[in-house]
Amino acid sequence: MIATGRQDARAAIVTTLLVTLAVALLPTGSYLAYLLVWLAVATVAALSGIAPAQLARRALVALPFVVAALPLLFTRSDEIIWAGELGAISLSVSGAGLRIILTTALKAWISVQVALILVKLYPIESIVGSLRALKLPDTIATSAGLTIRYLDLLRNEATRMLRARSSRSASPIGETRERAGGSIPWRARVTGNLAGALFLRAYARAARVEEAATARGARGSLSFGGLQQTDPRIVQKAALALAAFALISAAGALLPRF
Amino acid sequence: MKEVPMIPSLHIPDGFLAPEVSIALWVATAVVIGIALRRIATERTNAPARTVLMGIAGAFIFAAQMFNFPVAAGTSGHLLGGVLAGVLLGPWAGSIVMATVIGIQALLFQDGGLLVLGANIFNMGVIGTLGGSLVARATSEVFGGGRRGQFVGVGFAAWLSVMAAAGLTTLQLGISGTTDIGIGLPAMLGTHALIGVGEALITIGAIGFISASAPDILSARTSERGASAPRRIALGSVIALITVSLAALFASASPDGLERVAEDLGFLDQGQGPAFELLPDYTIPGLDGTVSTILAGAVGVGIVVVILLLLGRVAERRRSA
Amino acid sequence: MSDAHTHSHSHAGLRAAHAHPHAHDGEPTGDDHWVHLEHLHFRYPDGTEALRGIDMHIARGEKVALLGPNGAGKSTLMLHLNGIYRPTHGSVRVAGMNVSDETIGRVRAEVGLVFQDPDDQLFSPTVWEDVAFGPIHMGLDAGAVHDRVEAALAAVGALDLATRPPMRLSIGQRKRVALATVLSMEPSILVFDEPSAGLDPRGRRELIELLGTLRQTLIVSTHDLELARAAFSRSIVMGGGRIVADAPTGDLLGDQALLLQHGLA
Repeated sequence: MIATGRQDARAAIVTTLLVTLAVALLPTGSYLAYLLVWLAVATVAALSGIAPAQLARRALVALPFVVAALPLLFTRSDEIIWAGELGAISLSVSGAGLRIILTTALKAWISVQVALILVKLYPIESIVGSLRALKLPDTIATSAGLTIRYLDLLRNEATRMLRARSSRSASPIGETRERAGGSIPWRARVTGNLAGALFLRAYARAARVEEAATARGARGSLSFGGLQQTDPRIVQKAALALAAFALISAAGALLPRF
Repeated sequence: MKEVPMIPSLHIPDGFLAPEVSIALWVATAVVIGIALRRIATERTNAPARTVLMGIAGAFIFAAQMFNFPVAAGTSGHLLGGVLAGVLLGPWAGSIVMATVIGIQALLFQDGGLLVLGANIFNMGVIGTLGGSLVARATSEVFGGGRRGQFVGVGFAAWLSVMAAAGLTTLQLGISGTTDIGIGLPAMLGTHALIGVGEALITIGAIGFISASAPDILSARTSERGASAPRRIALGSVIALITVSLAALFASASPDGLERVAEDLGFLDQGQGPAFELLPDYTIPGLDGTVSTILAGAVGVGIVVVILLLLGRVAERRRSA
Repeated sequence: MSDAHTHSHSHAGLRAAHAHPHAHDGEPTGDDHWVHLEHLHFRYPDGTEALRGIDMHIARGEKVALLGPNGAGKSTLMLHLNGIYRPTHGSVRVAGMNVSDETIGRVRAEVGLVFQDPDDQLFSPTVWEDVAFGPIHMGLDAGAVHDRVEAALAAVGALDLATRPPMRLSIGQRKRVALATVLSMEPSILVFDEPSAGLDPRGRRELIELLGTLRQTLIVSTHDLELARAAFSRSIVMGGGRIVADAPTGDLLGDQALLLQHGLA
């Protein structure tokens, strides 16, 4: 994997979007199709060197939304698969609700996996550069590039500031355990101060970066980063992506649903 | 510090929104961001400086979302930063920055899906930043401008932006059939009412710090004076209208109400094994439920406007006295 | 200054000593071990081993320089002293307490950490508020807070800066204020991370003077050999996550081979 930051990721981006779209359009309850797609995606993921642990961690983002879907089990009244009493409450479990929950959870899982493959195979700078080539507006692409460039730096500053705050967050005299100090409004104000102070540092840094950039001769749009190499086989890859879309959709249409 | 962070985690993953909903919001987002790009090109600052500031502000938003404070019983308040971005950078540049932040979160961390990115940007970046900035400015003018008005405006807008984002997210999920509105909406709005307070307090603190330490950064963004009485009334009415309409919309979103909304908007999918269960019942009843609620909301707004008119008259009399 | 280590001054190098006086129950106590690290190992979540078995003890009131190149583990070690990091193995005792969740609230008051970049710890609109943060968090009443802030600012010679915004101060002033923000908590141990970084010779002179006025136990990590020589009678050299030397500063600085071997010269 060459980390030049200027690889042509356009085909990969299009493939990612088409596969994700195909998965999203799969009918509810087509578990066989989900399984097949998942197998294919999981194979690619494993080949790309994505650790299962990382995938699981990233997929956790979908968990609150799966939880938010759970009530559908009980509130929908179609396809009752169980009805009974829990104490004084009478409950029914809807098969349709269950299907929806399983479907969305599986679709979300597969989509996260696909998205993870994209950023594993291509450095984020290449992805932004490729998006620019795909007509993402210049301002957004440049701004995003700068954000990515300074992301770790600013987050480390934030971490150190948080450490500095906790280093001075002692408990009252006579106590030894950690205790939140001051009043809630005071704590919130201090947190706001942290954000404000960090912004002023970022603002000053932006001024320095801009000075340095103009000193090096950047004028006008300060655009840095076109693609250094265009993919010669991009048309073939795009065709493959369309084929994948068709295949997945066909699986959804043809394979039995439950 | 094993706290449960009450982060406004509203990044919808792929697979949870119906394609129609997703597309509609992509269009809305694209339109707004397009307008934003044109608007910032007309600003006085030079392009490199502006772009650099926007880029680094994006990294700042990421970092600032790590800041928290303990609230109670192991929970903590966090920052989403939409209104903060709008106040610090201006509503248009702020929206673009939030859009790129949300986009990078989706790409780099899979925090939010790619197909539903338009919806996420709309909920957290457009409504929060653009709407929030306008509400902040309007509210601060209503409250007399100056520091106090600014803090009230910013705080209220920050709270409202979190509530609006939570409500809109849940509505979109509900219309797509992936959550039960009757349970989800009260739950989301309830929890985010608290989270929104954290957002408001942190945003006020940040703005307070910056206006104390480097006021020149903010001076271009805020109105120093209070507005004239008629303008105050107009602005106040608009704010009231927005708030009441949102409240009416959410209040009307009982399970029946929402199905009617979805049906009224025509999400009828009668194909075999639909991709999304958009209409659990496949019926098209009349509009009564929704219309009556909206009428009620309009009456409420009317009452608020009358009150503001009276207040404005009192204020004017006091000023000229 | 009593030093319970045994060490040899062989030309091969000044090695760390391993004998420590212990109380009967195996737990060292008292002023001799005001800071006591025993078999301290620390591994980052990504698997990097940063500290590979640190044994160190420092008596109350001692002033020790922590020397070593970047990556030796000095900062990682310092972040253990007030509990920001917890050991993967081994123990950390400060001011008679084992650093743990039960004691962290008190540890933070006893151990004052001064970061390398003062901007990391100055986050209030005025100097006064920054110095007052610690005492306020501790729940002291307004009068006590006021007294502590005044005393801390006086100790660093920054009383006249009280109402200024920290961001507008010079680097030297910010470093002094940063120190004041921890002094107001009345710690018995002060830990500095590269205090002379970014200071010109005059700034360093003022820093040395200031360090000389402090009565607390001092642990100061630095590359600055001149600072070590001027202000610290004892130096501990770290390398690759271990202690490679622990001796009077003069002896260490005289051993050119040692300095070269461990990236100090």
